[in-house]
Order: sequence, then C-alpha cells, then structure tokens
Amino acid sequence: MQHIWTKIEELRAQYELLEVTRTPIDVFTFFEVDLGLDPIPFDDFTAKYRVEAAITADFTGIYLDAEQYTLMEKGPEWKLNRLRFTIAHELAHFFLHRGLLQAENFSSLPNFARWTANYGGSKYTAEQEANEFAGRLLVPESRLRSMFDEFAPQAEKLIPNFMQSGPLRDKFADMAAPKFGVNSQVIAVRLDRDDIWSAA
Amino acid sequence: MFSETIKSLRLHKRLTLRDFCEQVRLDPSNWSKVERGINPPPSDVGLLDRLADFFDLRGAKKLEFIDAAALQRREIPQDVADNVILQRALPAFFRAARGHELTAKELEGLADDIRKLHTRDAE
Repeated sequence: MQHIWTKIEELRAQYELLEVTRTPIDVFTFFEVDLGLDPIPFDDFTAKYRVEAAITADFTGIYLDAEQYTLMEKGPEWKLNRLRFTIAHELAHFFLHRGLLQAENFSSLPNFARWTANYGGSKYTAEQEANEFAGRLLVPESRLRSMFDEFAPQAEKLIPNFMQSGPLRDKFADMAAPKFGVNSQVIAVRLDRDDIWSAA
Repeated sequence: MFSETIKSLRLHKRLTLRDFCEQVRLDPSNWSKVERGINPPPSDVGLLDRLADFFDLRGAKKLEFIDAAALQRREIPQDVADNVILQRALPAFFRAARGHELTAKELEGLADDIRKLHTRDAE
C-alpha cells in the first residue's frame, strides 16, 4: 500500500484542501473545483443501486444521489460521513486506476468485470486500494497518531494495559471520528492499518 | 458556449454546484444538465440578469453572457430580434457567417444603405 500513501502525500503537497490540518477534508470542493469534475445528481441513486456515488466511465464526473447531494448538510452526520468516504473512494479510482482503465478501452461491461476480477491477482484489490486511499486521505496518519499520543497517557492512568481493551479502542474511535468527518469504523481501520492501535 | 462559461465562472469563485445553486436558488439536478450542455440555457431574462449580477458581469460582458445563452439555445438575442435596424442587417451577417464574406467596400455600402433606410430623405 506504500504507493497509495505516496500518492496521497503528493496530492497533499499539490492541493491546499488536502493538507493534514484541514480536516474534515472537503472532498466535495476538491473534486468539483480543484479537479473540475462534474457532479451529476442522480435521482434515487442510492435506493436503486445501493451506492452513494460513482465515478463516470470517462472519469469526467461523479454521479451522486440527488437528494443526498442537495441536502447533505441537513441530514444525519453519518450519512454525510459516508458520502464523504464514498467520494474519496471514487477519487482513488480517478487517481490510481484511471490510466489502467482507459488503456484497456473496455468494449463491454463483461470485459470490465473480468478486468476488475483479475486486477492485482485478487478479486477486490482495486476496491481495497480505493478504500485504503479514502481512509488515508480523510484520516491523515500524523493527526491520528498525535491524537492517540495525547490520549494514551490518560488512558494508561485509568486502565493499565489499556491497549488490550476493545471497548476503550472503540471509545477512542468514536471520539476521533468527528474530527475527520468519518464514521468510527473508518478510524478503527486506520488505527490498525497505520499501526497505531491494533485490535486485541 | 454558455454552459462552459457559466461553469468556469462558478469554478473561478470556488463554488461547488450545490453551493452555487443554493445561493442563486436553482435546482442542482437541472443546473448540472445546463452546465454539461444537456439542457439548454435559461431563456428567462430575469434569471440571466440575476446570474450576471451574481458573477459581477456588467456592460459588454453582461450582454455577451446573455447573448451566449440565446445562441446556445439557437435563438437570436431578444434585443437584436426586437431591433428593426439590426434585423435588416442580419441577412448580411448570416451570409458572411456562411463563408460568403463581404468585402470591406461591400460592408461599407451595406452600412450606408441601412443608414439611408432609417434617415429622413432630403427634401
């Protein structure tokens, strides 16, 4: 996954909106204004296809559930967080897989499905890469680590061997999540992936 | 193209489609189609005025913006359509646009002829 992390560092250096101090990362303004991709509101997208967003085949726009897009700040926080993560996931395809996909020049959907199945030698690698990209982009490793470094001495005082406590880890994830505009499951994954606090 | 112009003006202000639509009271789904050239630009002069004001377009720039909307709708701008003098000059413009360019002398002659059509004859 090093190539993904390197890509993210390159992007952070290039775009102010992605700087580690600017959390929650505004992926909405980033994809529309900095990348110039078209947002394409799609009626009942989530209800019909069970996804919040998807990049277009020509990588010039992102389909979004029309209602969620329009009312994103008026709905529940978890929905906005999920949409933010999904956009970041789609941006991973834009940055990591666009060249590969365009070079393949798929003539049909089955061809595309076959490529996805074989990419990286395992079925879900492209999607796993996209999730890793999204998590790392939205939750900068250095910020999460410094939050943990502040938290750890206090936790140690309360519970010896606190690192073994699953509920405390969940509590920390719940506490950190709003700072990054993600759901706490994303923090739990980052704690593990960034080798900060692995699940016991 | 109006669609490209309006998107570029919006991006220049660093506004997302959603924020822009909220500020100028437009529906993002419909406006997304206008910006992508799928739906025609608005014909409502009041709305075009409001958009031009929003982007601080004045004078010739505002007129150009409103004209671009009409042209993308494949219409003649309203003020041109309402102006008898300009209407009479249009066939020459159309002719030129189709590649039958008039010479400078012919254009001068045309301008004179048009002027005469709208000038009281000497007694």
